[in-house]
Amino acid sequence: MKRMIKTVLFLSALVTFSAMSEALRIEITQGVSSAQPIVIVPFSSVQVVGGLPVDIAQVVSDDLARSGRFKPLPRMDMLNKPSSADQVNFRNWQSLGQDNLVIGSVTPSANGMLTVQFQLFDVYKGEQLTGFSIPANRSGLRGVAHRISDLIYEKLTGQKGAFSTRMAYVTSMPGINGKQEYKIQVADADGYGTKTIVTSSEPLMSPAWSPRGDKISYVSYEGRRSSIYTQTLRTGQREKLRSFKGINGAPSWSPDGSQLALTLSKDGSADIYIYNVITRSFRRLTRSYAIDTEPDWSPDGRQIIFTSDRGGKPQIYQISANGGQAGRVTFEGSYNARASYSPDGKNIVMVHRVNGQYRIATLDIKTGFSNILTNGELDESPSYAPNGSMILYSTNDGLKSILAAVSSDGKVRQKLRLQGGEVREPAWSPFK
Amino acid sequence: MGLFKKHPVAVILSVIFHLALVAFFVFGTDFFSEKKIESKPVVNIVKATVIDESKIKAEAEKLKNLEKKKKLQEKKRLDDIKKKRLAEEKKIADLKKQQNIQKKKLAKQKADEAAKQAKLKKQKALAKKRKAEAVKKKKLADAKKKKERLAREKAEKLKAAQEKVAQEQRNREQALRELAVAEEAEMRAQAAVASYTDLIRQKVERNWIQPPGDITGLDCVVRVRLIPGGDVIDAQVIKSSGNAFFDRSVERATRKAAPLPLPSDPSMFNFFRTLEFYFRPGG
Amino acid sequence: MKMYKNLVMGLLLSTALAGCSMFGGDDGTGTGDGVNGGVNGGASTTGVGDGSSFSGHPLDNPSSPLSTKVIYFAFDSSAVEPQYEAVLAAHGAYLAANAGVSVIVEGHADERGTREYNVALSEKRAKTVQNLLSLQGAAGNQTEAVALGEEKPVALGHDESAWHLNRRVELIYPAH
Repeated sequence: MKRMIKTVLFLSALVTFSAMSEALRIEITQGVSSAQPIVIVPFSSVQVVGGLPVDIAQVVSDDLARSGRFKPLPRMDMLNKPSSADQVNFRNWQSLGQDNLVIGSVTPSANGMLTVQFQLFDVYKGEQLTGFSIPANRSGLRGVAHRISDLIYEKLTGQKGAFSTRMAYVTSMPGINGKQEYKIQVADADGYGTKTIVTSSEPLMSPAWSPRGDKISYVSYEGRRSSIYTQTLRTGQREKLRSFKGINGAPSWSPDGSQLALTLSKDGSADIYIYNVITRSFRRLTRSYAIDTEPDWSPDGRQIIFTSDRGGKPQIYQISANGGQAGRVTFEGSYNARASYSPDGKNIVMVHRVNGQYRIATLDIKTGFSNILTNGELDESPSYAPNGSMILYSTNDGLKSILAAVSSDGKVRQKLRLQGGEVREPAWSPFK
Repeated sequence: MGLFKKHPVAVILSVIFHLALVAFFVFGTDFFSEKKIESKPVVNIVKATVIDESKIKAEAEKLKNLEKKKKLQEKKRLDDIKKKRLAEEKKIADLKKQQNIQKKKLAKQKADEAAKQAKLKKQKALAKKRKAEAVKKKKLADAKKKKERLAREKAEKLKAAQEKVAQEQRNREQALRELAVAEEAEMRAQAAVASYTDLIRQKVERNWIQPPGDITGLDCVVRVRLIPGGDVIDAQVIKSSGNAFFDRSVERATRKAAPLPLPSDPSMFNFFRTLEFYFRPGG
Repeated sequence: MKMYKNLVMGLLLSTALAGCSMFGGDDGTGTGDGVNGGVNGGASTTGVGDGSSFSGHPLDNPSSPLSTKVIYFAFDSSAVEPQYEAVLAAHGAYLAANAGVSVIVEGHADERGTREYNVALSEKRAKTVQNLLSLQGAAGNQTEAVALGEEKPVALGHDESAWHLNRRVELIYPAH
């Protein structure tokens, strides 16, 4: 009996000891889904005579915050402001819980040019993730800042950044002579650098970017009837498409830039037609006694989704770009319209009515899972960023219509402050 | 009594002292009694009103007469009751007398019968008894012999067994004590490991910013080496999820969570020297 | 309602005046059947209804159904409501009797829903009115349906009192 007890004790001691030398296994099944903390220290520019017209670090900070994926540290919370790697003490930033650190500097180079340099660090690993040196001139500093935002965004999320893109939109406000004045304007994705490309005393609608971003097509009511124009941005020259009796509307460029899908009602009710940009000929795509309008091309150019009330109420349908039978895509709710594909072709975004309120919603084409992203009453005209991470749309702030941006998962929303007047129908440009 | 033999003087002195103490307590109280304080009784003077004497007397007479009457009535009532009761009692007594006479007759008859039977039985029994006694005597003698022998053997066996049991008992108790000590230490260690594992897990979860998009199904293992105090000296992805951003986010989470909470007992550190975090969002 | 009628009439008159210059002034390329821009002034007095005490143009006679030039619609509907049938009958008859007169049938929608879909919805309204006019004898080249969707509201609120006024078809005659 004594021996048996002793053996048992010895064995159990053995087991305990071997457990000590193995790794302790810990299972993690969840984290937090919040924006990544990041510090963007103001770039130093001591050597630049006359200072800088643009606060590069602020532009980068605002870009990254707007994407909803990052939470930049406010400047007043920065204990020190290093501008070179040797000045960086990672412990400081770790104690502030900041995962990422960006420092930079602007220095003069030959011929009045500037060199903008930045470095991105992983604070907890204490190592550099990326760094670039970018030549610039004084007038191009905003563009450089957006480029830096793109580089940082790509490095930290694996996705292409969309901060160097632009947006087109329609404004409407009383003109000088008291009459209503309509414009189509183009601005940077953050609302800066506004340029008017067309002005009219009659309504303008539905701006649509060509795939290379060099042209915009739109609907104009000059002459009191609707017609479609395609305007080249660089020159301001525009061409009017052949217009027909009835509706000429809703232009949408094919991904390869050779065709435009649009709406004509010349043969009875509103239907989708395909216009060949080279041959200038029209081909009818849908035939129904119902309203078919608001076409959009899939990223592979093979399918077109559109709004149709052939089932009684507006819903989204899909048809091959070569023609054929249209199939219904949306089955939830009694009003779904103005759909467009995400850049990866996996989702569509649309206007969806729920309880009498018009909201922006996405639908996963494969799983059928839908997600309502906004909470306004009259939200419309959604437009995906070319990296699919955000959606621009039109909403009403109680006083007038304005533009807003929402992250594609619906988690972060932001209103865009542009100049006065009604602002609507945003269209996000493709990548440069 | 053995104590007295050893220390007689001490015992006697002790007894004397005890007796003195007792006596003291019984008779010595007077030394400590308090003096009583006598107090004079207080006399109250009462004021009374004058009343007509004759009226009172008349009233009193009246009352007295009423009383007398009442008393007589009562006496009569009670006498009646008594009479009735006596009559009843006589009746019952007569009945009882009759019953007793009957009973006595029956009893005599039974007794005569019984006496006859008894005589017969006695004679039979006597004969049996004489026979049995002879057998019994023999048996007793044999049994006595056997008993004595068995008793001797039993006593011996018992003694041996008792010795054995006692020894086994001592051994068992010793082993149990040792096991209990070891078990308790083991349990305390395990409990500490479990609760600190929980704390570590929660801290890493709090510090893990999940990358956006659909991450269910991704699976990454990070091996972390600690120094006492919980600081991380090394964190490495030993099994990639295939998604570099996912990997980076989990590695960062383990570093960001440092210093990891560890039990204050330094002998426990060995359990936590190397940790392997299995990141599996969605379970 | 009377106040609104006057306001709308005023608006229509001014737009009609403005439209005068643009009317039929489009370039000739492919507008299909162009509407005859020529106008026979207000010389003809063969108006509909009893306008005996009115000395102006029959289209402006306040006691004639012709003075009503805006028709309102229910939400999400392009059906003409019964109370407007007489108005459209009058206009149809007027056009039938005045072959040289043409009218723009301009359809509108309230702001709810998407813009291009609302253009198509407003066209349905305009076409319904256009059909009713031709049933009454108006010739095909006398009416043109134009769809403005929600682009030109007359009321700017965000409730039914504004939306109701924007769901309309306007009959726009040239200056007379």
